[in-house]
Amino acid sequence: MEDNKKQEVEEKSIFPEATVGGTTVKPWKFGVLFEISHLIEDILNKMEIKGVSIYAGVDGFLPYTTIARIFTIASGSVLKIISITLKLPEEEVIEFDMDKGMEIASIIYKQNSEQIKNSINKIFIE
Amino acid sequence: MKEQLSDEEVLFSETTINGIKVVPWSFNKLFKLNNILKKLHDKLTFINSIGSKITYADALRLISFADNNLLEVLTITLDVPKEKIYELDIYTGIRLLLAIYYQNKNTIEFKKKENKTSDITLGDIFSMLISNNIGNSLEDLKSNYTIDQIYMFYEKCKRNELSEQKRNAITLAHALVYASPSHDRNSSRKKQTMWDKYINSLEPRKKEKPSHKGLINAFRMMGIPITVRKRSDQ
Repeated sequence: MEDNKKQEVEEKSIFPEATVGGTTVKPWKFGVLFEISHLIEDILNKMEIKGVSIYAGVDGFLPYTTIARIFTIASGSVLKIISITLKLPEEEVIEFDMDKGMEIASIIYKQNSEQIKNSINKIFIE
Repeated sequence: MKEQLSDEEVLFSETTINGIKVVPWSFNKLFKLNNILKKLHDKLTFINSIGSKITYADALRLISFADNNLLEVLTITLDVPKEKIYELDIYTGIRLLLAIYYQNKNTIEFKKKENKTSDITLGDIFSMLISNNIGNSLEDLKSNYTIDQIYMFYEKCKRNELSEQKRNAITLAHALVYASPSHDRNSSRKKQTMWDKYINSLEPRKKEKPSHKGLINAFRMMGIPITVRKRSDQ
């Protein structure tokens, strides 16, 4: 079940833009990093305290169970990141159903961490 | 350890990424960035530790470093407004950041070792460069030369100064021999010849040409037999 879901999300994240339930998810511009860095730091610190691994699978996806745990540990920061990424008010993001929220969070993670990872690898290869 | 750059690397150190010119820091820029660099210490150590195999966890940690200090480093180094930096794609942004880091690695590493002190002050360095006609003014040296270029030119000036001093000492020694009393005419002539030879050696155009006999001897020493033709053979 999770595998099918993952495949579907992966297909969406391969393209620069993905649409989930009518909401478009675009990869971050460089400037977004400066808006969300403290939120990412907050999430990483909370995950470290709770012993949640930030290591994704080889495909770059965080398991849904991990995403769910992150939601419970640092919901405030996750909500803000989604809101900044989608350029939607937090009140609107809160109204997403659980599935849509998880899927969007997964796509945001995959789209951007993959891009940063690949960029750095590409630079070192150059 | 300070990485030794070649003269060419120091002189042609700028690079262009996506139309944005990246030039190593001048002293003016370093002074502006001084306080920020201290705050970025841990982040710089982390960047230094990442290799070609970066993990997803590293990527996330890198994102968490993107604070106002880093944005300030980008705007000051690149002379580009914040709005333009915001609009860059992630790949270009990261390339710019890493280019800045690697161009100024020596300076950053040196800043981290704060206990390192030197007797030579920046004032000594700048005054030596200006007295050697490198840079029009203090402001020119501070703004238009990279830190590596300043140190490279300073080392070259210092080396020239030392070789000048060495040559003065040799000249003085020759002059002392030349001016010492001679007991006979032969000794006096020899001293005159030695002095003339030395003075001529200082001027490339007047360097002594090898004599005919000297050339023949040089060939013979290399094992090439040279015979001198008699006039009657011609």
